[in-house]
Amino acid sequence: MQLNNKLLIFDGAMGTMLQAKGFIHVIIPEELNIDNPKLITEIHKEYISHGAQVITTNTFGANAYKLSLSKYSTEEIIEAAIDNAKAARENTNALIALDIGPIGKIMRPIGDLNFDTAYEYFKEQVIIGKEKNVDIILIETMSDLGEMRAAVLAAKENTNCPVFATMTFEQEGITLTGTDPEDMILALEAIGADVIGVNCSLGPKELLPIVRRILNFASVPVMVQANAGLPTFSSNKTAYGVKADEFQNYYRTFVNEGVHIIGGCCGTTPEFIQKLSELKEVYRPDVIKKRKSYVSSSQKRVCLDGKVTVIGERINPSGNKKLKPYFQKGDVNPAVKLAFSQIENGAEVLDINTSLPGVDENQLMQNIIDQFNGLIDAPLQFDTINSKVMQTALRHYNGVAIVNSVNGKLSSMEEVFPIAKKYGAYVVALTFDEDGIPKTWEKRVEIAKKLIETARKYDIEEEKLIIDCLVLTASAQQEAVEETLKAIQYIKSKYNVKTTLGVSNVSFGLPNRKLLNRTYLAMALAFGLDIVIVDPEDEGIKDTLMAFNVLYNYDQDSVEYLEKYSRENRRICESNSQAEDRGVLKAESKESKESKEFKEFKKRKEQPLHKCLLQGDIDETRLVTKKLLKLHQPLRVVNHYLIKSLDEIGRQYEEKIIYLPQLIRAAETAGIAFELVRESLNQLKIGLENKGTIILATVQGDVHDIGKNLVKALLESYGYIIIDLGKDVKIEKIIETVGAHDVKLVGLSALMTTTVLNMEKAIISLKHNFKDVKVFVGGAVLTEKYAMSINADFYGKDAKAAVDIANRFFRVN
Amino acid sequence: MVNIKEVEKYLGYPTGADQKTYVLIESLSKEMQSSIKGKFVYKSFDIEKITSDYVKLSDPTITLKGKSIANHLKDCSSVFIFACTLGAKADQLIQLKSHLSALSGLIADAIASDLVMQYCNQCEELIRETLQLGYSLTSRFSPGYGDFSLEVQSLILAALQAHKRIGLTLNESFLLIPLKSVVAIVGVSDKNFRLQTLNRCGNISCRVCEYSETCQFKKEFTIRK
Repeated sequence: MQLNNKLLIFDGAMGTMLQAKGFIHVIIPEELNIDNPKLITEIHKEYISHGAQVITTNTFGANAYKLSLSKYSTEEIIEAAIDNAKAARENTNALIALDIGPIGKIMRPIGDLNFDTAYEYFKEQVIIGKEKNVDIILIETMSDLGEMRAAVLAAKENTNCPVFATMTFEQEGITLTGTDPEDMILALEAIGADVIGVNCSLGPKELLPIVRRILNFASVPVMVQANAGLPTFSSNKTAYGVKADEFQNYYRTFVNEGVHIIGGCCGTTPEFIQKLSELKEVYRPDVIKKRKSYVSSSQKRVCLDGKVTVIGERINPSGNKKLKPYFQKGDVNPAVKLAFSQIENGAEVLDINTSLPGVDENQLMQNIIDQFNGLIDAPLQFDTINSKVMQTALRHYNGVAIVNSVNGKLSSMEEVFPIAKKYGAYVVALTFDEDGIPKTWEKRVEIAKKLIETARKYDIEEEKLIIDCLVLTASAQQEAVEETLKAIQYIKSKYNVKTTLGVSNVSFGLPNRKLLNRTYLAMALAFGLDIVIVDPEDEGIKDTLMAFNVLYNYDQDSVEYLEKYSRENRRICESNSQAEDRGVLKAESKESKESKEFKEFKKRKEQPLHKCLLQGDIDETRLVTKKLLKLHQPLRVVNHYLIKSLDEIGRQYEEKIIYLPQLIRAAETAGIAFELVRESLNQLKIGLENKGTIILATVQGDVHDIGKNLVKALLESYGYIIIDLGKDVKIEKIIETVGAHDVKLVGLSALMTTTVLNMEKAIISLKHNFKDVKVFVGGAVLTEKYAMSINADFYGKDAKAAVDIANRFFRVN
Repeated sequence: MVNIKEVEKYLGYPTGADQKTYVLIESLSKEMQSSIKGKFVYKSFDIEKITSDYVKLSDPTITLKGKSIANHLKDCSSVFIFACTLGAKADQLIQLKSHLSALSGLIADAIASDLVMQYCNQCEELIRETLQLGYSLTSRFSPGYGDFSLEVQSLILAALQAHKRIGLTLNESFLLIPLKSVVAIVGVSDKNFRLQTLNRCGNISCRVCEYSETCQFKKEFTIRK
């Protein structure tokens, strides 16, 4: 469908018209398509006769989930709705838009709707629409970008209709789930939405700033369907304050500024549409704008132009030993913490790598995407060479991501480029091919050229490519190090691509690697490097980048630099850099500082460990533990000091001397002491004895997991290994994990009466599958009696009780 | 807006929190208050029929099944049903805090519980303002209290257009999503309910109640006590 730079007029509200005609208390207005087709057809006709060029079917809530309350099926309702619209348009040229609203559930991780389920609901709707030959698919009133993406992809993949996608914004300029207009545009243009815009929730006056932001950013036609003012709700009526003339005035501005498709939402009537159709002469086609390059999540975008972009590399189990055991058990929770700390240290984009031998990389990637959704706002880079994983990641991710990577091999390009194109992703392109990594810069440029030209055949523009000219190690191929820099320089001068490097390879096999890394980083930046993949917490990296941004005029007026290295900080920085100049590692100086502190500490009387833990005093806990470790064997420190302290704290909790937050604080602080014990055991080359492995899960259907998290914190403080399966956990998942890790004790939590039923089912299934597995349960509605009636082995009334259960269980076994 | 005393109660402190926890409550309260905006919708329904074990509402028709809700509304001629939520942002914040530390998660959760109560109070005040002279409201009664099951919430949310208007939904187990949300029914009557006791179902004590094992109200009350 070509819009041909003409203004297109949609109809107004259906609900408002139904109310005006006396249908006020209808729970499922879509049923009227069948129960009262004449009424619906009449409303469509009125809109057409008042100038609407497109009428919208009465199918806003016609999805299988919402219609589970209905006496009719989705198919019956949508078919009837389209028939009504067809009957109304008869001999006119009016087009029919299949209306699709939100499913009525909330996406993960807040709700339980996942992308694939959402997709299936929408797919059913659009296929019926396609078979009945609708002209347009209108997806509207969406506030969750993930749900919107599922709908757009369903429409794109199953029909040839143009897809119009409009979302609903709050007055603050974000949707209910925190997406702003620009992030909406980036994500939806990437997957091929034909028209993007805004509808509902606000009147035209309040929408104006939002519409302007959309017009400034979008490169597809823009659509607006405003309410007739802000709604005022009295007990049974909804009223809107803006009259048709005033509505027209606001729309004149919209159209003047470039809005292409207009119509009305709640509160608008044929009178309003009549007024809108008078604006046809006002419309001036907008100028096609060129936007900068952005990667985005549903809540944040990062510009890749005019600055150096930092990608955090730490969510990678092969480079991060602490992450590995968790990923092996399918537990992605530690990745959230790691994401957060990298962002705090300056990472703007996060690299996600889930490849581990014997692990379902695909599933793990999907879990991380689900888990991060809405919690971690940094855009992601998916680090995999497996095209299946790439496809899964890009399909489920609510934004514009980077895939890492493609290379100059024909097979790689044929696999990766179609996927990247489909989801509008950026691609890291490595300059090696079937013949390996070329020695000379010229050869690497040749491969880059091949990559750029092949990408173009897939309709991927240069801007979407991030060329990695590859770093070789200075210790092995010293002469090759410079070649990389020359390649960067040439490529940047010739093509409109971005460049990236994983800098730290350069120093492999040499001492003081950090010095080489940051020096090489500075050199590469000067040669035109745009994006660095690093551990942002690595010493010197952040400083080098700050300095570079000043010297390259990116950090204008040195604002960020001054903020970080203001006068009061200067002295500290200088003394540190002097220390480094003398060749003293900062780590050592930290160590000597600590031992000085330690000496001072030894002079004064120490706090008993349990007091440090109770106070949540991290420094003191560290010092006391260190002192204990100098005096005793590590295992003795655990059993005679740590556990005893925790027991004492537990006793105080039971006697109501302290309360739950204090108990949890102590448990979390004990983690620091455990960390030190582990370190010193590592030095002695012995592992900490595993006291026992326990699976924790909040049962299917239940999403209250605060209690379970407290149990986890407390059990961990006692040295138990916890496999945390999270919340809303399917029975099969529990069974599978018990089997895979040979676990003997499982803790289940459920908060509501409805979900205790699922708890009972899980227990039955566990007992059926494993003779020797014991289950303890907890949750607010449970009592000892109730717990026993659903065949649990133990009932934990609180987190402390769970520890007692575990202690008893593992002592006996 | 957060009532720190209430938060301390949710956390189990009979008097006040210890200093360190208090500081954390204060700073998390500030953070959550500034980024969370509660929303609510309400609607009145006439009572068409009332028996000892159900109440039939009209326009649109919704049947509230259960002895406890029937008893709660026995003197009423109409009801208001309201739905209130802190939105996805509150859940997101609680989840993020929980990932970073179980303690912060616990406290953020308690703060949100207090915030949602405050929005419920606001909503109830608005409803009260619409009452005719001589009429008063019963206390709030929610699905999950006594034998009043959670299932009815799907019809209630549909009738209130709760998803479209405030982003409130249910999951497969009829739990409200976002989590920090409340659906409640208040009856309208010409009797004065000011002196009503805490047992909203009308029972003298939970001990004599056959639903005490699973009653959601009893659970909430126990936590607040």
